[in-house]
Amino acid sequence: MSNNFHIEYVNESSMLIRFENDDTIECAVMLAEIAEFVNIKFGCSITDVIFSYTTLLISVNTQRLSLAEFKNNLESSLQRFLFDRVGQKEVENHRAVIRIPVFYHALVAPDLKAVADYAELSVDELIQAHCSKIYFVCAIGFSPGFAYLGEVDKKIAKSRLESPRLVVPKGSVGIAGVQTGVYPEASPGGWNIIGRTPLAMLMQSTGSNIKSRVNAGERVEFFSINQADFLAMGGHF
Amino acid sequence: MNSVTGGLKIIRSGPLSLLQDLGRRNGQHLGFSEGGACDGHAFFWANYLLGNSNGCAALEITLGPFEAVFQKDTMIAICGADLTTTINNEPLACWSSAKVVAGDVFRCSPGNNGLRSYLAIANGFIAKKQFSSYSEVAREHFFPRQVFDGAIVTYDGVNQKHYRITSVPEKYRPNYKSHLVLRVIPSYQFNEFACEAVRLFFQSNYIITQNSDRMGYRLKGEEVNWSGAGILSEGIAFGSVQVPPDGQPIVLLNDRQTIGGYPKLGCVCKKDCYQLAQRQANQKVSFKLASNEYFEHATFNDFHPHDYALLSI
Repeated sequence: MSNNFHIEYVNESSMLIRFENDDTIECAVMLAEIAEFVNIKFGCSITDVIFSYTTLLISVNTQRLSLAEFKNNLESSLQRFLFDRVGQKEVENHRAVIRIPVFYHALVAPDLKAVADYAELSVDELIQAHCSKIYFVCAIGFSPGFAYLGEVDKKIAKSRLESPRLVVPKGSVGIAGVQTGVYPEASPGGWNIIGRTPLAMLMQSTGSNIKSRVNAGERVEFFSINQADFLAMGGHF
Repeated sequence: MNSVTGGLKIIRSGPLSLLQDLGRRNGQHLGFSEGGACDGHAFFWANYLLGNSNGCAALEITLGPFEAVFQKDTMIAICGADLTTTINNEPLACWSSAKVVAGDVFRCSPGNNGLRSYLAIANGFIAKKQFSSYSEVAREHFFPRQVFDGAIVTYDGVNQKHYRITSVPEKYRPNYKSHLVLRVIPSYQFNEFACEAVRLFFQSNYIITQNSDRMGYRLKGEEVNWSGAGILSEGIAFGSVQVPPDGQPIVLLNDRQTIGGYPKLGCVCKKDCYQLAQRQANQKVSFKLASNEYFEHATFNDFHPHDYALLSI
């Protein structure tokens, strides 16, 4: 795979690392490792690292380090990191697969039937198709805790709704093209909703910190639950 | 009221009053907006007048009407929009510090120059931190709001003997009614826009629309055409000039979404974003390319009065 990257100035205190790689999944896996590496390596000199598909946006604390200095350091350490990485055998992702229970039912999923029809599958086959793959986190954003997971089976990759809904309930599981994901909070949205999870995607952790159930570099798998389980796990309509 | 409890009791929070500081850190990878004081220039000066460190939390009051009562003696400073501010119905000068005593009533209502006023307090307001910051993002529902009718925003009272009344030199008080030229640092997809589109963008005046807020300023004017392919979502930096399919540019500010898939022409310089955030709907702005000199100075971009003299905003 190609590991060509560019480091670009974006504004007075941010840099963007952009990778040339057509395989978005492969790239997302690598970028998650790089994000972790950059966080450890530069610690207090940076304030934020935003990971998304083939890019990393890094906010630099320019009171500690000038942007030019940071760019030089980043460039050389990144080259070394990538060189070391190529030498390694493709490391099996050591992190566990996050399993997310989903109640796939018309009661909570207004587009379940439409996506099944689009894919020319029965609803059960659609559920089977959505649950049979392991997805990679390609980006987190849009709203807090919203993870873009890729990629779903091409057959079920229905593009987003013509006009977005004003409110998509919390926990809704959707499909938009080859992407799938969970709405962590109620929000407007245009994804095809095929189910709902009873699990919270964002959680208060120690102090003022927030934890996300799903993070960069992790893998996700969905499994089907029935109405009784959905309710028992705290889900509601 | 004893000295341990108490603070600023909010009687009327008005349309949008928020606790703000330099913004949140290390939350954007989870999709949490950065937040922070929109008009950094006024915010930094307000803290500076009190001898605070530049990251002390202040109240960002948009227009008002706003009303609150001080429960402890302290020093305050007001900078930014020239709203109509009073203490016990006596006029309070903008861009200056002032003494207040327990029981003083602070009021603020719309004025005629600018949108947002910063009420800073000696040693800063104290609240619950989120992502190492006191900044609130109104759109999010994950954290409870800190400024609302009836809330008490705490602060430590100070001995006023150690303070003197100070004010900001005239030349550092911006006129928010003037035509604003926004300097743009070319980045992101700048080179992929057609020359004609870029030329049009820099030559035109844009009008600020009603749909402008702390998240972004939506402008209306000549359409900027993007003929390139769709792009993958990428992280959005402060000041990004995003061009959605309708060709009407949006300048993204503190409460911007963290990632997005629309092409971007680059970023408006921070100091110009501060001025933009004070502009109201129907005011006009235009864009120009930021000079190299700006970019070199900008690497030490955080507030320093000398820095401002240097850049003569």
